[in-house]
Amino acid sequence: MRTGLHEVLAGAAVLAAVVVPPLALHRGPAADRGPARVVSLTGVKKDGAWTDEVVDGTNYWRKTFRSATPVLRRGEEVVLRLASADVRHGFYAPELGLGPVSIDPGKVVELRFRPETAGEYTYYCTEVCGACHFGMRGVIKVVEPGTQAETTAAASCDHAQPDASAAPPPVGVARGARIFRQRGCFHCHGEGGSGGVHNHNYLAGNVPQNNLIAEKMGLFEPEDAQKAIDLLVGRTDLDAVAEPPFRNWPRFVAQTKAIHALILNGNPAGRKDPAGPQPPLSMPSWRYLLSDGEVDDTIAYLISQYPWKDD
Amino acid sequence: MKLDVVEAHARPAARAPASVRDWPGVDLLRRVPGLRALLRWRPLQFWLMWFNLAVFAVFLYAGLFGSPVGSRNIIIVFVWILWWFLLIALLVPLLSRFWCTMCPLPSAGEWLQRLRFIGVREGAGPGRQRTRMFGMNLEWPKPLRNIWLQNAGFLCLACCSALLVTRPVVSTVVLGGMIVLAVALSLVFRQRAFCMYLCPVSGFLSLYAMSAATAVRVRDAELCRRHMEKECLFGSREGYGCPWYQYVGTMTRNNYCGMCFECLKTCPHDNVTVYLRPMFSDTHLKGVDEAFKAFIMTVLALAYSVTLLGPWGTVKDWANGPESGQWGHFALYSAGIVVICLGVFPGLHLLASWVGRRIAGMEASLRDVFVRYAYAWVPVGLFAWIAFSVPLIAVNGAYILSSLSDPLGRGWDLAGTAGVAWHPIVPDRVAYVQVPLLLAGLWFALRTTWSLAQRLYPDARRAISSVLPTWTLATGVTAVFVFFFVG
Repeated sequence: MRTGLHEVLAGAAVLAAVVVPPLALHRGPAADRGPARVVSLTGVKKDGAWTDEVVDGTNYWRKTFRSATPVLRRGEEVVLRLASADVRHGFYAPELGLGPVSIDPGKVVELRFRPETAGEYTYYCTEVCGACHFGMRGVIKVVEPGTQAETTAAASCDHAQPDASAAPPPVGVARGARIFRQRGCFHCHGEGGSGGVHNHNYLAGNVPQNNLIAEKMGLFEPEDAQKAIDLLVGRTDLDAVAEPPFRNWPRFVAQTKAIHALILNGNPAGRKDPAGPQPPLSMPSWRYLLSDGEVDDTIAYLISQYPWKDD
Repeated sequence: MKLDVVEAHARPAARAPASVRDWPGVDLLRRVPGLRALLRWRPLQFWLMWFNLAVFAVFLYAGLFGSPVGSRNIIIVFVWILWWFLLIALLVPLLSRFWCTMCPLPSAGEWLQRLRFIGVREGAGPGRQRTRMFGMNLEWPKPLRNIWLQNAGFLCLACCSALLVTRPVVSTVVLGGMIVLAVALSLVFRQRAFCMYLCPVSGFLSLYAMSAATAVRVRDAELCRRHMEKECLFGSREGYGCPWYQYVGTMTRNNYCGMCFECLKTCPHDNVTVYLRPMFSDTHLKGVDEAFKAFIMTVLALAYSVTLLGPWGTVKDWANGPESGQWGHFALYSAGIVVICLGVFPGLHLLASWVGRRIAGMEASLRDVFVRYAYAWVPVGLFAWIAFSVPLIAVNGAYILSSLSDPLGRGWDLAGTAGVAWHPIVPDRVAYVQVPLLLAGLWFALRTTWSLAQRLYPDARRAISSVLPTWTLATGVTAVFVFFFVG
């Protein structure tokens, strides 16, 4: 009888050992944040997303996350809980005065605020966190109390990535196009460099449009542009060209060198209002990620994107 | 008397030795007050297992529902940094297979077999067992009564180690899978078949337990020989027959003693004890499977040093192939490890054995020389693993404190240590610890193989000729380790 009791107690102890600790972890410690509304966003590197879903070992590797669109009521107190599921991210919503703050994995940063004006406010990741970093942004919607707003999910990074199984294209414009997508340039500069997104408190308002660089280089004829492309993808030493192949040659050479250096070195975005916040988007340095040839191919691709008119 | 279990499972050389120990030892049960009573106390093993089971439940939960970041998840930090360091650097060299006493992996299976958590279920059991056992109780197939499966399992896990030690969910799947496998096998085969023949951890514990400073042995082997009931083997109302199929009366090595202390509980003559002894007192490898375990462990210590601690990004990328989708590179990395473990390194050792045998004389068989001198890789490998683990704990130790407060990586601070920032501990001085460790391993290897050579060739000149190529190889391998750790 005594042995039986021992066994029953031992069995109960075993049951407790396998059930109680996970249950306690599942509940987690209580946190008192008062009446404030809590919005949780977790940065996910692989998808370039700030998701409002719970990210853990069961879903991180198999699920594609998208940036959330939290909808807030004007005037309500909000606690924004920011976490990272993988690497260091940076959160910045300049128009709401939130951040920039670094979010390390395993650390939660809470930002308490009260949105005073209805509108749509873009938030960004400000730490280069991975291949999808440049698309890692979303929108916080602030609506008038009592109104409804749609919560739309942003596009995932999958759309940005070229087919990984495809063979790498040869040098040239095709490779430049691939780089422009793969490195996420289009996230800020638009598809084919056709128009940059808004960059809060940036001197020029929007991120520069890239597909007009042919014009900046003085390439006013399609034939001249093609010659310039051929020179770039042919790895021609521009300083060694004895006979200028088209008009505005010195301008083309100077502009090409300047753009090449800009891509390699990067450039922080200048502030429109010097007392205002730092613009969230700046040109990063690609010095250690792109070769000179890849930069030339990318420039050639952007020249090829000039919207020539028929007349 | 025919001891069917021993006959079935013990290796030939383990039968009826003249003495079960040829080393000086301190009888700890007579020296340490209360230790005998503690080890004979039946609930001891249950509560040790229970504690680890509760901890394990936390780990498994954290692996599934905690942060996907390894350094922020307690399963990675505690299992692959803290546990591994404690096991390889302290537990095994000091306390042999004491981990097996408290390992939670086979606990459920064993409780199910016995239908008891603590007590003994008396009655006629399988074979000549005097305790009843639930399940089919089949004997483990004879061709598989070796550690080849453990070697293969460990090698497979080692090839995937980049995933295993960085992705919490993978650790949960592997460790949880081992529990399921242990339970399944316990329902089919007798006693600790999983631990004895399949558990990848048990494989290297069996090898390095030979180095341990403690050993379970009988005090008087003659008394055991004369005692016919063999309770240590077949059980009694005091305890179960050895779950590891070992007969302590003739046991001369630590390799397959899981330190459950059932023999200590069942021996009616109080003839079983725990000795404190010099390190590397067990000096015999008893099969090619054990020799290959020594090769595999040494090569893996080298491979991990290159992959995890080395500056070669390409190797890391290849090892990390499954994450980046570069399966071809991962296959190359894995194939490289397997070929070196099973081909190149054993080939070098075979060459050294062959040359030594040619120089010293041909009396001993090549197989005997090969297996005997493979012991050199036990101390070299063990100390290389310890040397590898030192920077692991020194560099990543800070994560232990933060994980303690935030086991799931959710930003909690349960014990007030979550804010401990990552800070490597004296990384610039680690080499001062590693080099003496490697040299200690080499010294133990030279000393032990010299002793083995003398037993093979009583003539000192021939003995040294036979072992010289192995010494050269061991010195060369140690130099390679020093280069990786210091160079």
